[in-house]
Amino acid sequence: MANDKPKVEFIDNPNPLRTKVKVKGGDPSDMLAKAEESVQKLGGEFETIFSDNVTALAAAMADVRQGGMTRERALIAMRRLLHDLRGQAGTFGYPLVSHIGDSACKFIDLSEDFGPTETDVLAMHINALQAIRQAKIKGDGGAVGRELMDGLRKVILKYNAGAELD
Amino acid sequence: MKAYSLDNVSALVVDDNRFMRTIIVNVLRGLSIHHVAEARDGYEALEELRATPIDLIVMDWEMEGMNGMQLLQTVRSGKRGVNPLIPVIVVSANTIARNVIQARDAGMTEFLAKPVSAASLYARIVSIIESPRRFVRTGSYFGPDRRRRFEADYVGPRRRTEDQQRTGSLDDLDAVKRA
Repeated sequence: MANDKPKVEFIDNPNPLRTKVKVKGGDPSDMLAKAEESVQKLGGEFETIFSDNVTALAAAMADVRQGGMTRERALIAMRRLLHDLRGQAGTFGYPLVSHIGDSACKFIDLSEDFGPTETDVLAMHINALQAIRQAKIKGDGGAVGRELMDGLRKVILKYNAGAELD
Repeated sequence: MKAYSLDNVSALVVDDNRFMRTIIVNVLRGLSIHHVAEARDGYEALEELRATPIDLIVMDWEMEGMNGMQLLQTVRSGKRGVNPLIPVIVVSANTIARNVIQARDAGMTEFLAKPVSAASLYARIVSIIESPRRFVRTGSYFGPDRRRRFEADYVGPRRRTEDQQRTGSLDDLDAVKRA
């Protein structure tokens, strides 16, 4: 019993990163603005990716509805696309796309079974992304964005309550 | 926040999405980190870590191939010739608590929720520079100390076994609080 006490060892981290940097003086706002500018130059590429991903999501959903791709395979493919969108869209001024992608990923992750009703809920998320692409909605989308998010929230609440979806 | 010159830092970006890698590489280069290596998954990252001296890893969590969790565990294990003390920033769009706790318990240094911006990534790097944490090795964990704050006059519950032995038992804490 004497050796039951878990051994805890502390190691002082030499922090090699600290030895490699120098304080420049002033604040970093100019450097951050320059770095952000170089990221925002990728905005055009993101818009192409967004459009392509929405097309791929709609195609995968149509395939599932027609009984083509199995739900499991389609879900993996769709979650991947939605996960990429939720991670990238906010960087380029599309937080609404990020929110919808996040809502869809969480819905997939938290659904134990994925049947026709769950497919309908996911399809509504994809429809919302198609609407954003078509109307070229940037930012939070204002009133239209709120309407889209409220609509999805209500659908998920209904689903959670076990009610019939419209 | 101070402005640091990061010219001498070498970083490794690990993400299975090419475009996401490009975003992070652009941020790091914009922050004057000129040597930025890239890897598509944990396997490629380990190859890169063996071949090149790397000071900082910025990695995705959900990756095909060897994922973030497996990569971080391998790095912290010190096996395969990798420095186990290297700072690791986990970048993820999946911010549910379970995911963040998993990354913390695998030994991450910092967590960055997507979307990534130059300011948010720089803030994590500055935190590593200015607030380094000692490493802890227990039977089940090796990584940066998960306690970020040390309060000398802390009177709350002491959950570590050695703390409990030092204070007698948790029941005694009421007496400590009253004192």
